[in-house]
Amino acid sequence: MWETRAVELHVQLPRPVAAEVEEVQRNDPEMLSRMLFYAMTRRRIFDRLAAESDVERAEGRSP
Amino acid sequence: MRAASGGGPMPVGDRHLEQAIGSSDSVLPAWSAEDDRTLRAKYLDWCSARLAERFLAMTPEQIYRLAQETPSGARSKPAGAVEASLPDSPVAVNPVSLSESDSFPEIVERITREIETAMGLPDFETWVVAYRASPDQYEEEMLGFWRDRL
Repeated sequence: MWETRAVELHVQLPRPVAAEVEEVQRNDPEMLSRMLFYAMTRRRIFDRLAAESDVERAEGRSP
Repeated sequence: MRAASGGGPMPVGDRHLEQAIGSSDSVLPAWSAEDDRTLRAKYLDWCSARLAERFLAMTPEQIYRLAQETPSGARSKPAGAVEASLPDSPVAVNPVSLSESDSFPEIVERITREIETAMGLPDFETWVVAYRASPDQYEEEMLGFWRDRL
């Protein structure tokens, strides 16, 4: 659907989690891509719902 | 957010929610403004889980088709019309790349607006009744975004 490209990320994680992420990256890099895609989609949906909720409450359409 | 009140257009498939739908018209116990803020934030987190699950179950072709049928800023179509394009009803279209001008946020917004209409998510009051009956079940589906709203 969308063209893909590589993204270089640097994140700080607790050491045990960092080791786990590195192992996943070595053994199943596609999994990391799916995890990130899922999280970004969730975040975007949450932001949209929150913005919509704020507008509705400001306009008095939501109790 | 738009939400189904009582009998929404689609069964929720959750025992606690189904029980709550019948009881949410009764008087709810009062809760503080602080609790209200937390509950509303958790409700949005939970709704985002349901919508994301449906969004990501769609094939790229279904996403493309629905996005093309739903111009930015357009009003949602009736639930029945949208349902025909959702995962339970696969559609046969040629794989086509989305336009470079279609940003990820725009696509997600357009698609989830349609999914939300089709799914008939419970309204806040109904959800609170179900959440209080089984908070752990609902907490499991949250990613913690709700904390940013407090």
